[in-house]
Amino acid sequence: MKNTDEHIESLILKQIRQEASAAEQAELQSWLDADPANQAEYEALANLWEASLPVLQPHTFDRSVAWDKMRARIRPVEEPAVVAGAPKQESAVPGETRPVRPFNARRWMAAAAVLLLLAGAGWWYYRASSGGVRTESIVARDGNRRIDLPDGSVAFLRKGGALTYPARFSGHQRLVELEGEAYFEVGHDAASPFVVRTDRSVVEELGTSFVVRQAGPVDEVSVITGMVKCTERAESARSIVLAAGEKAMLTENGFIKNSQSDANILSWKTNILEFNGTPLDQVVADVQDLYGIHIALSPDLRPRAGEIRITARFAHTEQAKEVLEEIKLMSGLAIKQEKDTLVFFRK
Amino acid sequence: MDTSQRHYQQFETVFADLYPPLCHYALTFVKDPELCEDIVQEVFARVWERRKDLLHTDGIRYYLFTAVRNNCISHLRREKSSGTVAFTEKDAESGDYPVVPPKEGQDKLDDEQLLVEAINELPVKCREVFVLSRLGNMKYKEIAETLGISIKTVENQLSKALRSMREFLKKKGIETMSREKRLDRRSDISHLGE
Repeated sequence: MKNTDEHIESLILKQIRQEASAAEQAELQSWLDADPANQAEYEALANLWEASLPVLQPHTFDRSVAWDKMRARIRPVEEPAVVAGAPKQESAVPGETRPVRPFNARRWMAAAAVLLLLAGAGWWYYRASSGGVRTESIVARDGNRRIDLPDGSVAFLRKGGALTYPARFSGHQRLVELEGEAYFEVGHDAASPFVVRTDRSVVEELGTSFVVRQAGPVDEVSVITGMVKCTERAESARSIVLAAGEKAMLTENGFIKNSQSDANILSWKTNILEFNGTPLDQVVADVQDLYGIHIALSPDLRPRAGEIRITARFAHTEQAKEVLEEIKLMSGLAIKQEKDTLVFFRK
Repeated sequence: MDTSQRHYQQFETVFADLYPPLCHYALTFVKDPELCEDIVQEVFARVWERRKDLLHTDGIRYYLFTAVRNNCISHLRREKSSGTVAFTEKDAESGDYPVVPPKEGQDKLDDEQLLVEAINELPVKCREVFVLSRLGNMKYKEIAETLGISIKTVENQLSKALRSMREFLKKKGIETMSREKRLDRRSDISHLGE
């Protein structure tokens, strides 16, 4: 091997390990420029370095399964008194004949122990997630909920969602936990960023309003104003920053950015649907999402759905039927009911 | 946020960051992935028990790698003395690990297989430094402390590793590792740098 004396080798190594100083980089650059063969040598070594990582990872280890296991393991350490203090629950075996007494002291004891254990576990959970501050947990069971957060930020929780947050924020971040979908209007505080966590993602505002949606297998984040940073919880080194009008989806390969967020992303909150030359398939997706009904296009329609465009505005229309009737007229299509799905088709 | 919550979050972050690389590291000693996970879980449980001392230190990374390494080696010793031999007698006697296991599953790439061979051909000390620097993503100083050698030795061994691997592959007719093939596979490689 030519040219690579020890000194150059150590420079190359520093460079590919991204530890080279500016002076070292300059020195390496002049060596690279001196001879194309040097450049080739450098690239071969850099490639080798890069290629060696995947071969050292021949097996896939699932860290979320591992974390569940670990969490179960460290809980008792956190709160040993509860676990150790709880007597083993006596199970009432079905079919076991016992004299029935009006008051069964032993059963009563067993019930008390179970209660204590449950309460203990709950208490632990709340300590782990809030550090001693009381937490609020709001479930939007019957409809959308507006939630005024302790720092003056506002969250709108979509029906079916749940939001957990401390009664007062303290420390280096304002952390809330979300299940389902919510829209946030957040004041920026660099010293204490506002952070939304789901099972899979961590979304950190950088001064903003945004929507986080955790639905089915994907998390979706849309930014209305300002900027947010999205991080996959399992892969904290990978994150992306989204600006206003941008949207990202968490897939198996991390967050993937879509430059255009859906105009009707907030329809569940505003109850307004707006279509501006919007392709029919997108229209259908939006209506379906707002009203929670199943709508489909007939198979012959699907390939050309993008060509059928709708321009309309529906404000506070309570019934999906009215919206669909309008779309039907505009598109010249018909609708039929197939089981629980409404299907657009051409007559 | 009080201390106990901060500890919990720090622990969770460290776990998320280092669980897979530590398992991969363990796998270069112990050939059974499940066993590797057990060893790594055990090490993390120890960290949790001693979280007040360990979590906030910068050295947590090399503490973890050192602990995994030691536990793997003592596991191999125990196995040997109990008569179950999971690695060859020769390896046990010479301490000839870590060894890169072959890639699981289908469509092995020839270049990659040769690269595995190239790594396994390295002298033990050299291989150890290389594997640790690659999987642990550590600075020279951290590798030096983990392995109990000098920083200069780390640097020399790494240079030597890279040069030997390059020469081994050259002899096999590979001038440079094909980038394209790797780029195709990139989707399932999580932390491969640009």
